Amino acid sequence: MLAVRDLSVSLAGRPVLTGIDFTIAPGEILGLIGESGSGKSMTALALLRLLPEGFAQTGRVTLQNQALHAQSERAMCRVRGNRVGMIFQEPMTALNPLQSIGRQVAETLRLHRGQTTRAARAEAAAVLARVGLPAGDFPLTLYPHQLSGGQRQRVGIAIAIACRPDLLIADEPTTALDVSTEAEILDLIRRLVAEDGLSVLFITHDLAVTSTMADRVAVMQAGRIVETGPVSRVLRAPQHSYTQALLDAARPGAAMKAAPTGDALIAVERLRRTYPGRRRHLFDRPPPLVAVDGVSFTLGKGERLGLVGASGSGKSTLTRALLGLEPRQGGTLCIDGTPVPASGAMPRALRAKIQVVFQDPSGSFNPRHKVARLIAEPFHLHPAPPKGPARARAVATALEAVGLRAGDADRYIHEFSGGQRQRIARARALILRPAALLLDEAVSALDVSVRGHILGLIDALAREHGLALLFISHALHVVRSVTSRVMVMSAGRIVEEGPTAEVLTRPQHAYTRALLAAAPRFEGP
Amino acid sequence: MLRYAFSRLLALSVSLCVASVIIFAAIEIVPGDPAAYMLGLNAAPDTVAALRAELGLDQGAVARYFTWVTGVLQGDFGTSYTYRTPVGEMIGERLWISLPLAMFALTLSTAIAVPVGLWAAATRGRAPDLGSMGATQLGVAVPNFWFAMILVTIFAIHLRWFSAGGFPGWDGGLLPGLKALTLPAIALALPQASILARVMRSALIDTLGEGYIRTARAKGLTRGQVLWRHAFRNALIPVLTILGLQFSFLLAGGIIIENVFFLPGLGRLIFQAIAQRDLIVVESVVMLLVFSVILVTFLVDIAYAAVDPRLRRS
Repeated sequence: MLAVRDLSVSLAGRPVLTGIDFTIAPGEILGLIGESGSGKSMTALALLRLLPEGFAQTGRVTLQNQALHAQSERAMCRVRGNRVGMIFQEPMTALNPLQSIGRQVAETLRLHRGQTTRAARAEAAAVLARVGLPAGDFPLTLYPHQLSGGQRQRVGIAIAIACRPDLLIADEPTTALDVSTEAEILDLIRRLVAEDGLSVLFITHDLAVTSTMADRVAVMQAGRIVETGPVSRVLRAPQHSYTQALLDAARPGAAMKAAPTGDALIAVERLRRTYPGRRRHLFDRPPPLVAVDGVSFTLGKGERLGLVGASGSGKSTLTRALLGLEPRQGGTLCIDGTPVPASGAMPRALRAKIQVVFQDPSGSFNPRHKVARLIAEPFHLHPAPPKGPARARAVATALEAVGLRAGDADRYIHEFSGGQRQRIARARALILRPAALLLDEAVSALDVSVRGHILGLIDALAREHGLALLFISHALHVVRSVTSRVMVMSAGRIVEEGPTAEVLTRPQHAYTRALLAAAPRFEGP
Repeated sequence: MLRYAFSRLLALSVSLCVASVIIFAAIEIVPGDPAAYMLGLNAAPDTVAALRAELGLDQGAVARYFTWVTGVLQGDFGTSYTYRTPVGEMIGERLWISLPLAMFALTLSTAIAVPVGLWAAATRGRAPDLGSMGATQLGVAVPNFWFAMILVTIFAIHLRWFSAGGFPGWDGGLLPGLKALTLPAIALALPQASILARVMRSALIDTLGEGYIRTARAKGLTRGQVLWRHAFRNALIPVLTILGLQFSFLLAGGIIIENVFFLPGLGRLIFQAIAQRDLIVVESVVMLLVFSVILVTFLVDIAYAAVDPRLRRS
């Protein structure tokens, strides 16, 4: 169906992709795996000749005997969306917010089939029903902001398959979704592939997803394909060292043993956070929206606790409340035995005890400041912050502790890769020598091998400094290997709590079971 | 949508009430007694007192505020201290020049800015973009009265296509009136168009970096189709904001242009009224301008909701 020969892409003379070769047979799913920055998405865009300006591409791309590399731009427009459909990673931004979903799906049909508005809308309704959005519940007039992430991704899929293409390119289609939604979307793609006999280029960094979706895999590293083969062979007996490294990093570690814990560092009693409801008219008194509903737990000194739940379960609100960034509408919070007021600023001495690392480290750095200033930022919480050479020494020590060089202090944040930024975020969190570190989805966005390094780093730092860790994540396998105790959160409440090994192997609550069942499993060879 | 419009309308009335109080208070603070000013330095104190009583200036501030507001609500803006004619009539006459001039200038500025912005965004970094953005830089930097004088020199003095100033009135028909307003409208529009084109371009470039633009390209739309169908409307919100601000500015901000072209517009009226301590005229014109600003803001808010479905629910 698709044959790619010696595809190379360069930006201003610097190679980005080098000699990419692969084929996809009719009805076959080829998994393209590799870390972010390895060139997976670039490959997908190059197939459709949609690379951003400034990129130059060479090589041959043949779709069913049609040489795409030799087509005019006008002819390519007839291929895109018609013979090749593409699904993107971010369902939140991949749809036009100002156009109804019906119009966006119908646009593809009108463009390639020359259908009238009325006929295209009727067919769009049928396509949306195929992807699980029947017009009865999801009228064509809905706008993207009225849909959830999973529903938006279904609309994205509807746009891609509306013209019954021969080839579907799915670029990390489930990375931005939580586990249960991810499973539904993967099922949908599988069903469509079976029904339409589609060929699929399935791009992902998640080996577990690859193992359940693909027939064959191609492994990418630094702009080259290093290994290709049937999924069972490559994941069981990898021949390239890089594939082996990816596999090692993805294998679930043994669950941690329950460790005895010291005194309570964070003690939370019936914590409640509500938001004012939406007023329907001027004098309305709407019931409040409850984000965190009577949560109680303790985090002991040096303990490693996991907090797991689907997105929207209240994890992040709870995290913010623990940091004193959200007022509480009920319950108590004690840090190291000192009660924290329900609203207003948290005392600095307490704030210095708990530091946080967020999911997207690049968003939490001011791009105009050098790393030295970024890392030294928490010093304003210090009663007597070090100055001059002492400050520089503290920054250097913090950088070296997370595996970077002292000289990196003079660079700007855009000069670092995603994994290095995670390290800098940790250096910043640790410079005050806090007693606890909250990690809010801090490794979810990372590729497997980087994630392995970062988890190892956290482990070493926690041992060295006697840190308590609170891992907040929707990914169960991350929590499994690094925490001794886990709490499961759903709809603002803690529904289950216990030693990690026990909760993950013998879940009691229905929600935990659903969460476990939905997660794609990669058991390795 | 209706609820949104209603809530904006409520906000509009509240702003108007607050604005009227502030305007009245500000005029109260301004030094200078209109009665004393009108009668000159040598007036006898009891003559001044009599005139004050006649003008209603001897009443308390609160009473005068309510007299003024109820009058304005009924369309009675009071009587000018200096000209002894109803303020409403004076404003009405001037408005028939200033309003068409503002609309004319705004139409011109939009008609220039939108295509230039689209073109510049579509050819980002290449010659048309660099050229048009250089020209808009000049347009922003050069004051509009200077443009006005250049226009007069070229089109009125050398080419003799237009008259150098004055206004024949609308009685002679639409065309002579529009012709007299053409040069002032161009002079007003050029700097505004430059700003608007730059806003249009940067909003479009932001929008063109969005994920849904990539989706649209992957659907098979050409660059031009993407720009028009998916980027243009999405880039309109900042453009509408600037348009709203510009209208308010054009209505009153033409003082200098009105002077260059000898147009008896609102700007000149308020300028003269301030010089002559004709406070009731000042008050009324300012209130009218505030009303127009608030009304335009309201219309812009409604336009936002028409453009962006996400705003219709709040």
